[in-house]
Amino acid sequence: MKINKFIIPFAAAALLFSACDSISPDDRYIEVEAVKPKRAVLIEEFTGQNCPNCPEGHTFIAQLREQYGSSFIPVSIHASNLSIAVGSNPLIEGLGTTDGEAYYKNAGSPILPSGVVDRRTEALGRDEWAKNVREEMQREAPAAIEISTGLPEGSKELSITVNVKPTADINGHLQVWLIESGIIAYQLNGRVPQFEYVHNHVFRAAVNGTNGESFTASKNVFDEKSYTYTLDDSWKPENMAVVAFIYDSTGILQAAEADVVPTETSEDD
Amino acid sequence: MNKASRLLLPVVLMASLPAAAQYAGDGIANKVSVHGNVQADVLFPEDDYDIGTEHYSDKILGNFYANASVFSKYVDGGARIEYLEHPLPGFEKAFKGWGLANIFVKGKYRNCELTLGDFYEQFGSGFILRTYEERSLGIDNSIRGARVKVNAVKGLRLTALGGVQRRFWDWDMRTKIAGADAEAALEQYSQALRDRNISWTVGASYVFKHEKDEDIIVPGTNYKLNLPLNVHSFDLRTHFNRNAWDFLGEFAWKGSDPSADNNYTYRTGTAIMLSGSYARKGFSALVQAKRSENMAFRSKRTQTLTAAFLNNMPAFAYQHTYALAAMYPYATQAAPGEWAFQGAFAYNFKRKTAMGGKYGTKFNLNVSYIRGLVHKPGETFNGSQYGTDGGSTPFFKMGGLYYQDINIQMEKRITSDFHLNAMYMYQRYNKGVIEGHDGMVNSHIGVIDAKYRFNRKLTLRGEVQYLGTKQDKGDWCFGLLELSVLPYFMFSVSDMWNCGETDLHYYMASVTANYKSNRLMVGYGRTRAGYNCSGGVCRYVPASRGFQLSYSYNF
Repeated sequence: MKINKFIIPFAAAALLFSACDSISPDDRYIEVEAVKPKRAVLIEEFTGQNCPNCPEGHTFIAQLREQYGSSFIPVSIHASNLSIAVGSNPLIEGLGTTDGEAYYKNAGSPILPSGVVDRRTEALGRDEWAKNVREEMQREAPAAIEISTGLPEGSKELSITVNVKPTADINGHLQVWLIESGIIAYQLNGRVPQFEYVHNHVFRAAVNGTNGESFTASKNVFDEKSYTYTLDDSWKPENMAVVAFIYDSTGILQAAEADVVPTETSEDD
Repeated sequence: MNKASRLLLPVVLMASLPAAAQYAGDGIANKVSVHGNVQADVLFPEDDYDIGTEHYSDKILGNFYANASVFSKYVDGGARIEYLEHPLPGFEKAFKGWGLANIFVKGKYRNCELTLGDFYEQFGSGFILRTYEERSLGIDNSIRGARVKVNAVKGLRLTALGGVQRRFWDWDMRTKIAGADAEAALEQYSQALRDRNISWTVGASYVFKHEKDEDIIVPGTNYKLNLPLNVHSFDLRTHFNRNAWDFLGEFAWKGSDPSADNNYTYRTGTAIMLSGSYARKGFSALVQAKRSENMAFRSKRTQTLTAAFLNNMPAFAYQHTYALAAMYPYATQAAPGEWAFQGAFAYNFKRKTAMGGKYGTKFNLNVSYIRGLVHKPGETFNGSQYGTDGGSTPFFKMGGLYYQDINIQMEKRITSDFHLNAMYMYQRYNKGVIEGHDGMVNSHIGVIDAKYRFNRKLTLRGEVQYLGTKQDKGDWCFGLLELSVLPYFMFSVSDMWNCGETDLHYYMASVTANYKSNRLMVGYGRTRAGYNCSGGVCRYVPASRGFQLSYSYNF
């Protein structure tokens, strides 16, 4: 039939072309140079206790944390209608906060899980976090931040000192947050509800206001800010950390993290 | 351009289109015709914390479209303007924008046709290529480039195309698309087939995408993926028809296409579908089955949600129009894959029979049954599936239930002025798979739909619906009254009441006016949060309340 002149060669050509682009399992990975971090990178990871895909995002975060250590600072912000607000459910400890909802809205109310890297990206899906964190780590920072904390034994009054050592003029905002890890609470994991899921790096409170405070600094002129904060009774200070970062209209300039109760090794969790 | 003039421009253009249509018709009748339409959907949003509306700073939200096309013997052309700067709730962030969304020119000569610009195309059932516009879902994945169609040989149609795909307001040059399709009507070459009244078509399609490289880093490692920049796909199909019988078989294959849809795995995708139907006066039956796996085919590998699809896997779920029956709509699981079965049967009891009554009675039975595949885990790389084959899926094994729907509908004319429709439906909806949270929702749904014609101008229609379930938000009731005052007006009031859990009422009242080619609807009420689906593709619509206005004009 005349049509054989078209259909059969057509199908054969399609099969031939498709074979050319097949990549064998041994050739699927290309090693890239390990990054030597020039700064700390902060990711605001938007998540929710009723978000079934979010535990995959938490796994990605844990892998990046293990890879980059203290140069990678994740903060899990529970928000959206897939989160459970603090105090809203008598049976389940909720982790959503009003400040968290504000940050979520500022990020464009993205689908979960999403992450904003150093406030220099839009809300990204988890498969784009590694690449963007890697790129951010290679960017120079115009300041170094050191955090020291003081919490007398038996007290809930936390004192925080943030030292900023600028290497360039800065005109932006300074934000100080409290986060907590090791929280045992409910999480939907796929289609399985887990009631003893371990939540890490959870945003608890903004110490100096939802959007921080105005901050200006001159090159090589050190600056120091001090705060006190009363920890909530339900929080465990030994699992908590202070996160401080400077940001302006271009994004986060530098970030740092320090344990509320410093440990001997200061290892990341 | 300031805000006011950017809003004014589409309005001026829309207002001038009918005049242009009139001009084209005068003086050069029968040679050139102009057709098009104008559409505006507007919401004046109000806060309603009871139903969970979001707060909008804009006082007016709306989607505006205007398009016009010119048709002549040898050349067609057209353009569409869209104004989506303040879109209705629920569309993606990138949906926002305005401008010339579609423009094309088509040359026609004898058996050939060449299109330059933006066009829509489908190969076969759409397994490897389906580009279309669906405004309610915010989908317009047209291709911008060139397409040629040739019917050079009797019974043989050839199509070739190439270009870039539209993704909201971006025509991404990073990905190039090309394709070809050949379809042959075998009865054109066989007298024996024609003598037996057989129509037999065979077709083959090929679609190729070339997407630029990018860094996809395997989390927690210093490795990136070696991505295939070229992805090939092909489709083979046959369609046989003889008198009342009709059969369709189709197979599609897609090469390695690591993407966000499949966790950047390298396994190929397949789809196979078999469909058979029988139709004669008073009776019809359709039975079909489909298995698809890893067939999410996009022009952007990192894209999620509904944008940038090159293909469309047909939904095997009955598309309901009654409100409560459509409350839990099924979304095709193209990436993870599914086994889907569907049957549709219709029988008309003749009039003046015991079952048919005076005017006849029609029954429809529809069955949809969709299950997932069994995924056997395979190797991982640093705990991730990135770069692996993603395990295996035994062909004939079926996984958990995704969706089941059995519904029986009756249409009966009781008297010359009174029509009655009734439906019973049992539905099982796996909310965890389809929406990503919660479990199976099992519902019994009943609908009574009655219409009474008072006279030639006045008709009253009423609906009563009930959805009974022990899951999700429990039971729902729905009532509707619709008064048509021909030829111009229709008045409608409805209420959807969550009598099971929240006790919330989603009321709506509207007036619709039709005059020649104009249609205007003005309404006020609440819309519940949920999913709007068409053809297996769904968009989440948040809750809203406020005045609504909808206008359309066709010319």
